[in-house]
Amino acid sequence: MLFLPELIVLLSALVMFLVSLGKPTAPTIHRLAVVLGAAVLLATIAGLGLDGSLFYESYRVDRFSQVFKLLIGSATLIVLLFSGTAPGVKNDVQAEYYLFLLIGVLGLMMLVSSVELLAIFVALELSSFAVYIMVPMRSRSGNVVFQMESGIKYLLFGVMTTGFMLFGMSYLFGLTGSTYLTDIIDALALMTSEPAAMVAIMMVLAGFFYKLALFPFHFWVPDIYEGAANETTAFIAAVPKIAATAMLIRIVSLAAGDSENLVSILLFCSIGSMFYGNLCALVQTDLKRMLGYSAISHAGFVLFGLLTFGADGYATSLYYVTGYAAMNLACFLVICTVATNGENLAIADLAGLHQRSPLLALTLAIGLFALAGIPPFVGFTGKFMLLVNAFKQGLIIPVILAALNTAIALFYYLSAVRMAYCTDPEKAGQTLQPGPLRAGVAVVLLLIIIAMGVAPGGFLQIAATAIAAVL
Amino acid sequence: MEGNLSSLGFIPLLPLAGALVLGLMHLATCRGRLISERIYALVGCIGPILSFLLAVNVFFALQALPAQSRFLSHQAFTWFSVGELTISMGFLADPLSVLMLLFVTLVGSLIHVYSIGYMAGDPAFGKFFSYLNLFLGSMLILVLGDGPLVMFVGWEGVGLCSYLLISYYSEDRGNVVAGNKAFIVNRIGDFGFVLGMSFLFWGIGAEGFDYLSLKANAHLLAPTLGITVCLLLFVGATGKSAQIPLYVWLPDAMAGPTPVSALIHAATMVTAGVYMVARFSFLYAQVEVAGLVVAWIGIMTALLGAIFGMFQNDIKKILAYSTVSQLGYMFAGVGVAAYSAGIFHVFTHAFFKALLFLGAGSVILALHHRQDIWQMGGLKNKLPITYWTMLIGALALAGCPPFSGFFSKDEILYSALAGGHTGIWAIGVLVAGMTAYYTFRLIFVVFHGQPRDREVYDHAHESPKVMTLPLIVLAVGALFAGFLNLPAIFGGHQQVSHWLAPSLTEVHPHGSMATEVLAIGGSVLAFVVGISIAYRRFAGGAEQPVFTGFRKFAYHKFYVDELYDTVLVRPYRFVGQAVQRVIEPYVTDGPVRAAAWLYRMAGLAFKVIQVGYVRVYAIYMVIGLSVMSLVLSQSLNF
Repeated sequence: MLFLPELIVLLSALVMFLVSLGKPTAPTIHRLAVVLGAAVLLATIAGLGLDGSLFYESYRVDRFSQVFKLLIGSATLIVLLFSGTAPGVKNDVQAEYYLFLLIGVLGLMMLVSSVELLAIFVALELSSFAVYIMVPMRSRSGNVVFQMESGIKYLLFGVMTTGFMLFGMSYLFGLTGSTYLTDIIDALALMTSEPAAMVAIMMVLAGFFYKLALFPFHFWVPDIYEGAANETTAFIAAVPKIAATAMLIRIVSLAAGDSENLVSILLFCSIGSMFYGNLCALVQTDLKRMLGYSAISHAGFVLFGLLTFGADGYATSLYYVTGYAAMNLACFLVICTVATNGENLAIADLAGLHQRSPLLALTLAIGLFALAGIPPFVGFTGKFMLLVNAFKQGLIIPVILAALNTAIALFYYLSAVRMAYCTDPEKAGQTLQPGPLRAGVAVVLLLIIIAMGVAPGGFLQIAATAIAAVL
Repeated sequence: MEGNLSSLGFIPLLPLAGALVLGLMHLATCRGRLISERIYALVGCIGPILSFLLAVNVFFALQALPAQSRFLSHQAFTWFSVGELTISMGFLADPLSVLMLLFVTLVGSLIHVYSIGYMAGDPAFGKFFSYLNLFLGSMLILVLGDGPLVMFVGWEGVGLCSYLLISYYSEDRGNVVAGNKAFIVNRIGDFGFVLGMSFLFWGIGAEGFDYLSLKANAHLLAPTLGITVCLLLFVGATGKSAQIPLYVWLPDAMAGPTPVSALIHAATMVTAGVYMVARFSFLYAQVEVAGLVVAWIGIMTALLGAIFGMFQNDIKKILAYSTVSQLGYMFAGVGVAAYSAGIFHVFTHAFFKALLFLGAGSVILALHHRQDIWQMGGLKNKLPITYWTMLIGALALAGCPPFSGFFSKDEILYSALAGGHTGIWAIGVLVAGMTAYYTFRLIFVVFHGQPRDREVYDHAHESPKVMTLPLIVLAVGALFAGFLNLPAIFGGHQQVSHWLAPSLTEVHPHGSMATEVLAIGGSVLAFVVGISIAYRRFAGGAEQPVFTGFRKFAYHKFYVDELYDTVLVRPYRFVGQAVQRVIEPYVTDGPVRAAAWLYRMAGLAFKVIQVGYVRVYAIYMVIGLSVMSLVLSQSLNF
């Protein structure tokens, strides 16, 4: 029973595998994928109250892991709902695409429950390899020809960071004689002055920094965002981030904030990510590339919450990454709908969106406003709470730098909104019908963005209880 | 001493809800083409009419109370709360506001009904009714508000609506300019109002900022502050109620559809200033100087308006200047502390001025939107209902006994005389004569004599019932409203003044019988002289005169608009352009542009790092990790 949500995901993947043996049409596969996604979400809801451990204590099922699984399941279902018949994916591998997507979800779900180094490694690789394969599955119908290159790049980076992480893990094992995180915490508490211990943690962190796209492990982001199909990018942009945050919370709590230097290094990564992401995003013309750079800066904000090393900061990070997933999905929903053939969109392609489809323009505008951190949306509330938390810790200069970054970010988000609202479409009378399903998803996302922004209390409560389970 | 009456909230709410519904209907149906005018008309008229019925209900509820405790209030919701101060969206019904309420809703409803006929076939029928409802709703908030702040909500609301409605025919640039002018001039007045309100709050606002608390604390206000507050509030009133020097917008407001002119000139908007001064009678009664300023500005405006009115050719402009002039009388009334007389003139004026405007609208519609009186003539036979009703209105305006205007105007002039303000009285009598002259100049030229444009005359026809019916109702009001406040000398009991007494702080001057007779005699004489001159000149069918000398000067309104343009508008615009040309690009925008450029350059620099080669990225990552590990290990002491 403890393994129920993962089991359902696994079964779904198997169903997809069986389907891939026949020759089903794309709409059939998409319908099936949505049904499977819904089943997965239901399973994660059903598994919300589970508590216990599996596989010789290397796999913990508790409030923390189940909340994250629910988030992963919801985000996956939303991606599946709005990706339609996945026009960006090659027609003959549609079933396989969803198969790998589900396997990726399985890996991520297992990741958030893993409390043992080898389990973590296996789960992480399971999810990573699935996604490596999804990237080059992009069809050639669009205006993009470098999907193969992107896939290879993604794989190479992944392998490299895996190497770092394994190296770090071996140090941890060597220092503590155990691969269980609980044992490692106890043992590390005695050797905080040991350089090797800090280096080991740093290297393990690097693996997750890579997943979360933090400076200086972010270089893959823009190329992969641009090279992958829109649907794949939507998935990569939202779902692994959630799992990576979960793992970061677990690993960072290993260090427990004893080391001033670890704080300053995390700060460096955080602020570096913000500046790098925002400054590069300023000069982008491709919408997905811009969102990729914005993802880097937002990863910096998520880390900003972690480096306060307190339950409040962790809860806020959880809140922020959830809100981030919602706003990002809102933007990608628009991208997937506007790019009817799965092509890449330049910011200029948004011209006159408010006339072509008012709902999509509104979704994009609110999504981008939220990303920019404009009240009353979730992006504002999240950033505000992160900054307040950090301010209470006395991190005044970083807070100022972070606030400066939100100002820089405003420019490129607003330039996309301006394009959508203040210009006329290239061809008059052109309209876009999002369809009832996408319209429904858009409205739900907007409601989430607004509700989480206006009334964060309830969600923070849930986040706090989840965090309490790991500390 | 206060009772609660929750239906008060509905009186402004109904027209406002109507405005919202109409606006949504209009927008939702592709600018209203899918819904028939009947439905718009029904929705548009139901709110004002229901409000009127509620107002009648409130009137009877008040009447049932003893005279000194006629206060009903309703706190709809807490508007905002700052520190200890809580301002709620509160409504107050007392004798003064109920009197205003009654005629505002009645005349407003009639104008709505009339508009069904006048605006028939307009492409944006629903939009027009939506604005009209919004206008009435704002005016009702203004009247019913229980404090200056709530009043200010309505005050700004009518300002906005006047802008929307004056520039309603927005294809013509002149109309848009007129709407802008009305709005901007009003805003200048509003500035005074806001300042006055702020000073008032500073002085005695801490104990509560509604009329009843202010009235109770009025004696605490320092005299100099009192004068400042009164004068600043009056600046606001000169804007809204078109007094010197801010009267210039009202004649231009004729650009809007005629029902709008009627609404602005009779029931809403321009009466707001007079109402406000009467509302603050407890302040003005304390500082006589401020009252004198109000009275003199009022009577001078009356004179100026009358002079301009004598030399206009546009039927609506004549009426517009007559409004300016009559508003002057009202201010003269409230200025000499005869608040009930001023309000009574507001009341009667609402009827006969709405009547005259709607009648003029009927004439304009009959002549296919011709407004020059020198193209009319002899229309008596073609438009009988319009003629007779307008004649009643004209007699009321000219102050012919026993029409309503006579009593209310006489009351003001008598109060001025009895209060010892002989100068004001004398000018008032002169203006009364001028009023009779220009009013009957209009009537004689338009309706009597021979048609000046035969073709126009032949095509003229009486307006539909939906338009003439409101005319008849208003004519009854114009005829008999005066008897409500019949003075003792005619055997009356001055019901209106007694009714208003609990709301106002006023001392009735006790003039002798001789004073009273003198006042009445003066008024009647002025009327007779004015009308006979008009009869001699115009009844036989005169041709359009060529204005020279002083007449030309008056026809061009003493070139006041041009003066304002030269002295105020142009220098202001020049400064604005200088700021735009010099300060904007270099002083304010310069640093911003520099910062933006800097960030963009930084972005480009980072873009260089992002070369696209995996091997380079890999080296970055290795370097980054190495440096970080080095920093970590170096810092630890080993």
